[in-house]
Amino acid sequence: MKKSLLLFSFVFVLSMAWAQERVISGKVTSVEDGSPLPGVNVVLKGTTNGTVTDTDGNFKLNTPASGGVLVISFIGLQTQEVEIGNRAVIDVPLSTDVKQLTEVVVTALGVTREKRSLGNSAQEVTIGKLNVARDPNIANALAGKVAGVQVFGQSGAKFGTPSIRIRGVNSLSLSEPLYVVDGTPTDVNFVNMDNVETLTVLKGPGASALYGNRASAGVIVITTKRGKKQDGVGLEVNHSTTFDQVSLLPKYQNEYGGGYSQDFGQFSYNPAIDPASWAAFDGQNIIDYSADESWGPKMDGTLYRPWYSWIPTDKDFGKQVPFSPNPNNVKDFFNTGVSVNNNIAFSKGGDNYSARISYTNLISTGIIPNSKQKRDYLSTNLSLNLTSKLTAKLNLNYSNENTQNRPADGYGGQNQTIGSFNQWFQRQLDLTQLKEYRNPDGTYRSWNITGPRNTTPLYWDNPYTQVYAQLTLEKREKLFGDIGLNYKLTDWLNVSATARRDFGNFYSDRRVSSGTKAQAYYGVSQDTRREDNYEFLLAFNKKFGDFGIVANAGGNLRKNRRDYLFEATNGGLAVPDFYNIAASKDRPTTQSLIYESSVRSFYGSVSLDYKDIIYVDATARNDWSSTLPKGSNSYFYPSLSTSFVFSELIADNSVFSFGKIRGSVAQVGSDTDPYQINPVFSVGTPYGSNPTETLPTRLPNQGLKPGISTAYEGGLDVKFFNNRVGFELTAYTQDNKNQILSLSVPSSSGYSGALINAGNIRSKGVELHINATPVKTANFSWELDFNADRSRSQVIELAEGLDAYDLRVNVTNSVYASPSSANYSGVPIFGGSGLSVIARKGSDYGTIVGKKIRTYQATDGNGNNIDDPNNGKRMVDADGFYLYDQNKDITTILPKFKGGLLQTFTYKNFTLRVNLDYVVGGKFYSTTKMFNNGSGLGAETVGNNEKGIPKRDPVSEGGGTLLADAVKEDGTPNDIYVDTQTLYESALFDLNEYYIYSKTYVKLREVNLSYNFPRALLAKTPFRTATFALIVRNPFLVYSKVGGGIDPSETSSLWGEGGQLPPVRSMGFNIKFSL
Amino acid sequence: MLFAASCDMADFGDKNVDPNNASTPSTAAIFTSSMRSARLLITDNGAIPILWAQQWSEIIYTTNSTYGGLNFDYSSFYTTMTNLDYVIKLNTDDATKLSAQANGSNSNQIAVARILKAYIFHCLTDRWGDIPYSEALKGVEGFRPKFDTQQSIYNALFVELKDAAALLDGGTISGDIILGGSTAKWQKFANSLRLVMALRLSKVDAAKGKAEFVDALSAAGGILASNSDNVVYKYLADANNQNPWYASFTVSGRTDFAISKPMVDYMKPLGDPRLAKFADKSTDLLDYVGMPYGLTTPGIVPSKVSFPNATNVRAQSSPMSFLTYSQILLTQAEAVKLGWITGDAKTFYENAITASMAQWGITDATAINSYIGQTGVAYDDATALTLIGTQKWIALYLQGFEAWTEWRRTGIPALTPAPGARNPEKQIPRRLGYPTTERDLNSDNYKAVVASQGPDTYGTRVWWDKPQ
Repeated sequence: MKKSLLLFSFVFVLSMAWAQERVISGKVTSVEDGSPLPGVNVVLKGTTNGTVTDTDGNFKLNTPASGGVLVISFIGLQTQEVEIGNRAVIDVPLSTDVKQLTEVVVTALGVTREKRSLGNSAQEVTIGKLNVARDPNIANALAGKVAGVQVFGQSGAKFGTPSIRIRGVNSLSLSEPLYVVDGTPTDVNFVNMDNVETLTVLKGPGASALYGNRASAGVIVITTKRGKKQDGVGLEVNHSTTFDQVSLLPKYQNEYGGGYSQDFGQFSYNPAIDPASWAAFDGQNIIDYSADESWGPKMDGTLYRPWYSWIPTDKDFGKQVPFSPNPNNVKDFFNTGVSVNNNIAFSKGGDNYSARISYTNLISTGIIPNSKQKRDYLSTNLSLNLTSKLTAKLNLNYSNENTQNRPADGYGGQNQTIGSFNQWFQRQLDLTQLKEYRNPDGTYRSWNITGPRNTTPLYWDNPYTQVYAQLTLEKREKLFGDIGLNYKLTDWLNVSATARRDFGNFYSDRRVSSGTKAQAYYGVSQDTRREDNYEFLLAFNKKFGDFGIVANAGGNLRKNRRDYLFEATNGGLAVPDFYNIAASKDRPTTQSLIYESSVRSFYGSVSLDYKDIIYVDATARNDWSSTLPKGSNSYFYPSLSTSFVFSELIADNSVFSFGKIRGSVAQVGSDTDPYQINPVFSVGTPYGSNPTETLPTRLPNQGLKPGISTAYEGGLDVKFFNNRVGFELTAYTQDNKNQILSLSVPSSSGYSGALINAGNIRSKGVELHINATPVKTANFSWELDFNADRSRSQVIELAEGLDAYDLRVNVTNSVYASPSSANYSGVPIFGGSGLSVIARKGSDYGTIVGKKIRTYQATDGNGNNIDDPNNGKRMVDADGFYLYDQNKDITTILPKFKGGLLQTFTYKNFTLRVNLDYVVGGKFYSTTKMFNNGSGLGAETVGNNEKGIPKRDPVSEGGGTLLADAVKEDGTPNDIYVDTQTLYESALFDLNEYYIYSKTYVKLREVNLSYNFPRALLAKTPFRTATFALIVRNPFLVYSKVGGGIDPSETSSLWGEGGQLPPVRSMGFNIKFSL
Repeated sequence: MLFAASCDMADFGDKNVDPNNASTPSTAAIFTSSMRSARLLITDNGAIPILWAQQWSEIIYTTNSTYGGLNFDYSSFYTTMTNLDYVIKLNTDDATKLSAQANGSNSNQIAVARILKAYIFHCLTDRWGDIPYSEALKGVEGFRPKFDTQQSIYNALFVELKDAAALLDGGTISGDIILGGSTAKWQKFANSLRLVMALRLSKVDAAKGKAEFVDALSAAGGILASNSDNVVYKYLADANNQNPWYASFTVSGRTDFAISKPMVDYMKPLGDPRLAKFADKSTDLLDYVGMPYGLTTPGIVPSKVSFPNATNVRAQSSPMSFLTYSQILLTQAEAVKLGWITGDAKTFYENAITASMAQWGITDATAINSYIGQTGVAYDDATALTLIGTQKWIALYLQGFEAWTEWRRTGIPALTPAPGARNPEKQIPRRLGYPTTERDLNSDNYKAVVASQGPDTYGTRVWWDKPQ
């Protein structure tokens, strides 16, 4: 290619030489980043004599012997005229044209619009800023990058299944946004990050009205890469390898080991039951092996008999070892996970076609031993221009994911190990002894045994037993894509028809080996979900003088179906370790479910613009849903928005570059899941030969109406200093009327829940996005994107006879939601029997109710409150423990504001991207901290007290803990020391307020340091581009107010966590090149 | 466009008909599920009432025996009553009453549903005190029912039990897994329940108690007359319907509970043959050893105390009793002693012990007589109430809620509160705290009941519970 260019230039120069006087040359570069600009027109003014720059931005042109002016132009850049004078070499830096600035975003129905024309809030994330650290999960990668979008990042140990909330808790059902990939709604967890070209977040109903009833929680529109006309082979390769490590663990104590008392026990030989050889063991130190707490003896090296020394077949049987700390025992359990991510893509485009084929293979091993995942993504985008008017296109995406032992948060269920380390453990345990999780005779072994004479695991399996003998396998397959035809009737009228399918098959298999603590078990489920959309669209686009009209009209038919089968053994396995339903000892548990529903829609939109200054958009849509009662299953919702680019009326100047005000009002309707209307009777577990039937505990509702959200939004977008600094400010109010909610109701009504149309739930908020380039020189630039938002929700009116909403049971995942997005259900009920979180009519959203520590208020002789420096301090009783009241409002959970900061530093060919996100204010409940302290594992429970004596020593000997922040009932400072074990084990345990912490944090999410090989260096190679980067994901918490080893950015629910998996730091490298 | 032209856009046919659940109800199947849920009235899976009555002690995790927690959920009982109301409706509505007769006469089914409902309400008010009654179970007609006073609920239940029992016509019903469909037994149950409820009023309104007691004794059908009339929930040798203590001890291999030291210390010196039926010997000490009650950190290993008996108490199909013959005999013994009825308290007392022994499979008359005859057990008119109360405590073994409730009424036996008590009162709870859903979602009525009944704490006494 290069050769032919050179040859061409040579011939060109030769052929012109005889007629002209001289040859000038030069290079055109970008002012923004100094990169060479290929394809730029260079013309001698007033002539047709011109050329275009080559791939390196160089040009050569024959000109008259003297004088002349070069006109250098390129779409989107500011045209420059340069006097040649008597120069032979002319280098021209070109800058972006402010006037022509066309930032385009993809909006509803895949229509590309100039951002300036939009009347509502849409924020785009370019692929460079999205894919900073090659997180394979798109939702994860959004953290901090869009104002008003919050990513509830779950621990990386789970192989990435985050949840996203747009505009906070804007509807109380806390639903996920709708993800639309090239027009097809699908599950973001199966979208290949390497295929993403652009991602746009449409935040409110105004932006999403045309996507219909699932758009009320916002829409994330993703367009994938397509084949382009380009030089080179059209091959791209992207490889990364990252290493995952636990980045944070709770702070454990390393002073006291397992047990309930600081005294060792002694083995007492009993000739009646013990073998004669055990006589020698008489009097040896033992600990309470059955204790799963660490209130035991000091780990001072005293010889004792560890648990395994009582197992006759153990090689260390009968041996004593020193009772000493193993500070890293929990840390040592975790592996360094390795993720290898390879993508290869082929693409090409021509006049009549564009094609792209992409394949990604991702292999990860987890930080929890024996957990791993393999994923394949295969996709193709094809577009054929059959005639000048008729285009056919096909998009196909297939992915396959196999996961073994996906770990779970919490204290029970599958593959939990961290819950064990944080609640029930002995701090002295040596993991090397646990790695052998089976005895030579095949029985399982655990540290938690009844005693010397019975070494069968008592309450807890060894963590290694959990990961090796209790397996969960998941297989997930996904196919989505579309096929469509587009016919250009005229230059201004298009008609298209598209059929789309999103198909998923999820298979899971759970096995519990015979002989472990849990009953032997085999369970298998098969879950198939299919969504088909058939749509047609008529698109009109024409200019009439100063007016432009864009209009669309279309229809959509959506069909959903889910088939679910579940079978599990009951009562154990008849043949040990034979994993088959046929092995069920008792009647197996079975479930078969079918869900079907359909939505029919018509919609239209009209956009008018006047001189590119004023834009007015109107949309309208009507849906008919099969899930609503006949008679109220049709719902219409319109929207209107406008945008006024007032900077067009201001003369060009170097300070103010762009200004626009925008406003919109929009509605979006919503339906519900199928089969919610009519009363039915569930057939339950039979009693012998007696069948059982029960009424639903959730009251169905035959009078259900569609929900309608109405949003009002206004915004101001301004840019200064040649667009170097831009502000986008948005304020919104959203009224969610008649929202269909499954509410908890007082069970004395005879039901635990009811499906209702909620009167009105209002959310309000402000969002700020700042984009700035504070420094820009030829070699160095610094760009930043700052986001901040604040949102508030309030129950204005709930339903007839109801005025509060129980948020613990609010996660109403649609029956069609992907299983992967169902992970956001980990609301810890274990916080205590009296703890709840509610949204009460008229008061702040998310009030935590429970046990509240009583505070001091001084009074005068008449009982009137008086000022006192001790007012508001916590109070203790005569025994020195906190006084508390039950059933009190404790605090509210919503943060004051939150957001993120993404910075890009460029120096020559080096680019450094740093992304962080933050939350200021808000509260969450930590069950992990409560258990950590309650079972004597936490660092808080050891050390010396104010008197310099170990806290765990008896109070009578100067030990104990002083609740130093408290005053006594008479207001004098607390000076009563209390027994430390009693304090944490019972007094503070379940004292809800004590374990509520601030959510405030700043977290470094992503770092990427990359080097782009310069073209000059690649010129002699087959590479078109090449980049090498060092990448880090979730390096560390820069700041967290809670401290103490809990990552508040990964709490498993909005308001609390319990037994959450540790955060994971990933570090590695990324190599990208193209041919 | 095609679908628009060819059909009514709003017509989806029967697409929204649920294929996953039955559209037609069976009263027999609803009875079975309701009775299956009602088993939880005897005790809860955490054994809380058995612990509070100090029949059992927790060995390692003592949160429940030290009165941790406060709010207890009653939702499953109210939803069960919704199901029973539906049985009544199916037997009442003209459209369905005929087909419902396949499972027994309409009046028999209505009566059994009403008796079971009354029993549930009686259990709930004994535990929580004032509860929603008159406005309860209204669904969409009223999500936030007011709380009725326990007194008014008792008054209503006396009438309800009497009226319902009178409807029974001697036939049988289907789906009855508790009393095998025998309406004669349901009649005995209803009348006996009135005796228990009447005696509950001994401290607060003896006159009303006496009147109801006498009335119940003369009601048609009589009262429980032998152990074969016992109202028992029979667990099955099937993982879906197994005894919860089997699930805990055998399936999960846990060793959470042991028979309590107060119970062993009372039964063992008297050579009570029931002890061997209630408990197993300690595996280390080879004897019946009670677990001290309610310590914060007991530090006693499980092998050194006596677990509940493996064959009688925690086998997969070990039954649990709602109401027993011995319980009714002791109830009558006390009524005689209170002067409510005439009769021989001693005979009732001794027959009750014999019946309790027989219930646990002890029929050796010599052994029973020597037990009854010894000092400490032998009937003594001066200490009769203590003797009757203590024997009731033993006879109600595993009927935790009833044992704890009778202790609240009588203070017998004298129980020492858990040394490690976590509740602010540091005393044995006198009621259960309301579910958080009432506090959070029915807050006006909740506030009203707290104002009238007293704080929603363990320390507040229910209406019939008067200090000694």
